[in-house]
Amino acid sequence: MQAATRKSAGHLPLQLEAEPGSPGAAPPQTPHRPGFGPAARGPFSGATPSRFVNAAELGNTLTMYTEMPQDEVALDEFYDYCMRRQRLLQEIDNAGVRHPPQSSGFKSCIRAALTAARFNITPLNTSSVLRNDDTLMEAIRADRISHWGLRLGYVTNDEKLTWLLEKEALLFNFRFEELPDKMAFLRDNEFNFEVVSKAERQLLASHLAAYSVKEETPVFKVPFERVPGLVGSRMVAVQAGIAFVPINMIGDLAGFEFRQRLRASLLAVRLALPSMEDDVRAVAIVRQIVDGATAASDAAANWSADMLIRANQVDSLANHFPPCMREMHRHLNTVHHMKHTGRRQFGLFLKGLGVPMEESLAYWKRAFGPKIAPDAFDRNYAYNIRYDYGREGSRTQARPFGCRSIILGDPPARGSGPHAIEQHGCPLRQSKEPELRRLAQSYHLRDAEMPSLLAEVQGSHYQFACGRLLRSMRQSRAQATKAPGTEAPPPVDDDIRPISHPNEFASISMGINRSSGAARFFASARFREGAVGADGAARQDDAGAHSKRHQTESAAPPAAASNVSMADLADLDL
Amino acid sequence: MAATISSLPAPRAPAEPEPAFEPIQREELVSYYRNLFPFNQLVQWLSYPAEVPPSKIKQEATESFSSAVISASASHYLARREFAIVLQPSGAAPGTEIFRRHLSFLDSGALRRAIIADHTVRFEVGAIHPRPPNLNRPASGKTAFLSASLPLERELVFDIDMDDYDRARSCCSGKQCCRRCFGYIACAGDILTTALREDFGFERTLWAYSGRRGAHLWVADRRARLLTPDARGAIVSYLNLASEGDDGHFRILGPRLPPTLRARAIIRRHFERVVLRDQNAFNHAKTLAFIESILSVALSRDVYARVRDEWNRIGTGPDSLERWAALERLVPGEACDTLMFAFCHPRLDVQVTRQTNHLLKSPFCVHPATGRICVALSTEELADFDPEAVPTIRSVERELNRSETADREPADEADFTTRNIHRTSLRRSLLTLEAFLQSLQPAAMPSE
Repeated sequence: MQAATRKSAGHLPLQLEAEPGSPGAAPPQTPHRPGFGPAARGPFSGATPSRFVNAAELGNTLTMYTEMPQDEVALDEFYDYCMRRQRLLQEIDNAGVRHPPQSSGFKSCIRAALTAARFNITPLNTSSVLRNDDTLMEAIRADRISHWGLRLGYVTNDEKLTWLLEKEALLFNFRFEELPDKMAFLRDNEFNFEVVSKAERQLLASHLAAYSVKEETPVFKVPFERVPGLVGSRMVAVQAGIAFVPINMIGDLAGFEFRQRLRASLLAVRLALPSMEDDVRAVAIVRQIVDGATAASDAAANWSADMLIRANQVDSLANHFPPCMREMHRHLNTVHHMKHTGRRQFGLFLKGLGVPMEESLAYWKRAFGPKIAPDAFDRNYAYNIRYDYGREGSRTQARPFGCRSIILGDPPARGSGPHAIEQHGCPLRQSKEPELRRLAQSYHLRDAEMPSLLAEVQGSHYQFACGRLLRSMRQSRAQATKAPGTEAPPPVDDDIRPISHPNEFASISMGINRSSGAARFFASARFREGAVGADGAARQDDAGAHSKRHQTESAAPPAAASNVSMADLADLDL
Repeated sequence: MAATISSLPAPRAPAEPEPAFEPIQREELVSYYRNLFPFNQLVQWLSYPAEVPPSKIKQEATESFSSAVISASASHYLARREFAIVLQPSGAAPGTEIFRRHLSFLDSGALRRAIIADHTVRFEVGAIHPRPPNLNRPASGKTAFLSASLPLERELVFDIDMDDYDRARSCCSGKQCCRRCFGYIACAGDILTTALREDFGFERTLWAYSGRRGAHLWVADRRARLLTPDARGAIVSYLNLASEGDDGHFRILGPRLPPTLRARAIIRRHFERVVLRDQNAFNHAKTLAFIESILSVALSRDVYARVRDEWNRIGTGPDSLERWAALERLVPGEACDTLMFAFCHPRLDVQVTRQTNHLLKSPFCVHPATGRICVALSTEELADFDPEAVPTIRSVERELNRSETADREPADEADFTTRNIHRTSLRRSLLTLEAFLQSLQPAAMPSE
């Protein structure tokens, strides 16, 4: 079980005492020292040190991850675990884009991803753990270590933290639903909720019946704060602050508890992180994995940090904009006004494009010109633009909105009169069919693809639909520059990647004409790592956009490549 | 469609333009905040002095793991409360405002001095933070510390605005609001406070008129103040009883569920007075268009044609009772329910309730555009509240001037504003606030 007992050369136990760069300088002093994360100093608040002694101590296969695993782990093993989990979470994220949560398609995606990542521990219950199944034990060990490992990489900012929290919660919910004995799990994890007694049931009978709770179903009494999802959607009866949760909906409660505990724990890790110098290698490995995966989307937002786009260049770039930004740009040019949320969405997009603050102010002032006098503009609108650039208020650097927040945000209000019209959000989501057709035409979408686009929109796969528009626009442009007679290959839908960020769309689109900073970086980093995939060279132009590809291809042993790419990633991830 | 209904009166002439409101002078503001504003009572509320015995504070602090929380929760509840001041810089054009956030004060005296010294137009109340927000104001050029701005506690607040009722109003629109409009807020308030009390166990509530066209509800129970944004969002969505699709299709959410049935009973109680008599909704083109848009979806063409014939036969009247009775007779109950909910369901601003760091105007402030005082109200008082009869900064000043015994010099700071208020028509509102303060006393608080 312990790395210290492993024979393979080069597999070094992660030691608190080990100096980074001088492996083995400090041999293990006590075999029971924590493997990674200085638990002795208590950075993972709430975590009680424990070791896997035997299978019986492992208990249930599903865990709330309250206890940090304390066994030692080899560097390459640790890297492998974390990488597998990163990929798993990424797949869960993708599944969420393709399928509505809780749908069977979503579940089968997760199941496939779990098997691929060899974390498939759910259908087995305690009894098979007791059988001391080696593969299962290994999967459990990898699951726990990788979970705690990834935490180190994801606590660095709020956005990442929320992402990890969401994906881990989805994974937990999936596994919880598969549990054969849910009650045992709730008991083991101290969910001490009262069950409604016979007498109370009679008083509540009509209430429970209204929520179609069958008479024989056990019902838990839970503070309503613990099941906000069920309360908000009126799935359960609520009385005097108590929610009555039937056992078939208990997954929500477990999921909520999991999120709460994980969030608290992650925040504690964040506070402790600066003091974790001893673990520099563990942290570095995880950072490399996590940043490799997220750098692409960050890079998309900052792709042109070295470029400067002037106010008068914005209009000429509009044909590289994704549908949302194109619509807002059109609106701005015809109505010469935009409501607050729209200004924020479009303004931050311009910022991500590389328009500096002064140019942005100039751009907006000119766009509003026909309606708003310059001094009125300075008085009423300039503040918010300066705010977006971190020059006002809390002085934080606002980041361009990603697709997720644009799609999930409040849809634009449609009042009467041009001034009352809001124009933010995702037009793919908000438009009716005729508008969609017009939109598709402006991206040169073939008629043959129109039904697929409509189906995607119908199924809420807006990010795929957006990717389809991007592909179609690029194909039509490529066609225009090609010699006549050479036909483009027929479109294959596997080719389409979902768009996750409007700036990603724009950078890929512009990347046709010039190689972006991000694309250059990824190309060179890949060569240095010596792990170019078979299709790597062919697709270099848009390498910056696709996180997954980089991630797969950088799966080289960390010791060789980490220094090189870490430095570059640090530069990029401003 | 409305044209097919005969003898429809011409839509009311647009309300005569309001007499231009003379912008409030800085001296008037200083005088109001110095002589009348009930800082002592307000601060007594916002610091909940009697609520938590010291021993409990210690215990709570030990349970929470962050040391920042320990030192902060043990003292100075008020000092950790965020305030924001809106002031009018001297010499600037009327309507120019400066907004200052992240302020905090040690006691009511400090708050009062700052408000008066800055020529404040109004001020807003925010959340309780781990440490005093004025210590967290970022030095210029620096970004704020990560966890500094996470609010720990915040009253659960709701904001209802008359704009959102525009299609259901025959009397006013937009920023206007009269006594008849306010009936909708009274109905919404009834639904809200009942649900909060019966379903969530929240009883300590205070309403405040927003000064022009809406009202705010403050829920001050300790458990409510500790809710996470997610839980607040869940409450708003639980209280949201109806949804309107893009196609004008209006749906009651969970029509057979107990909270919806209870709300239906409450709406029934208000409907006759608010919609049928005060708004006379079935006799005005604007509200008839709204009714039409709902019934045309909810009813078959034949049934709706029959309803319109019947309405034509009845003709217009001084109120809409007869046309409503005809509708109830002719169509299934669900369609009538849908109509009742479409008119009366509470329109809530999600973000105001959900976000714990949202600011909300303090009761008793002055609305800069109307000069009205944002008076405190109990849920019962909402029913006959007339926004056009609210004391204004000028009317209370006049009343104070008329009173011969007015305390102009703050000889005894603690009491003189209270005595002054009792000489004006703000008296009733102050009594409401004091009754609310009484409900916060430990004796009135069953152990939670």
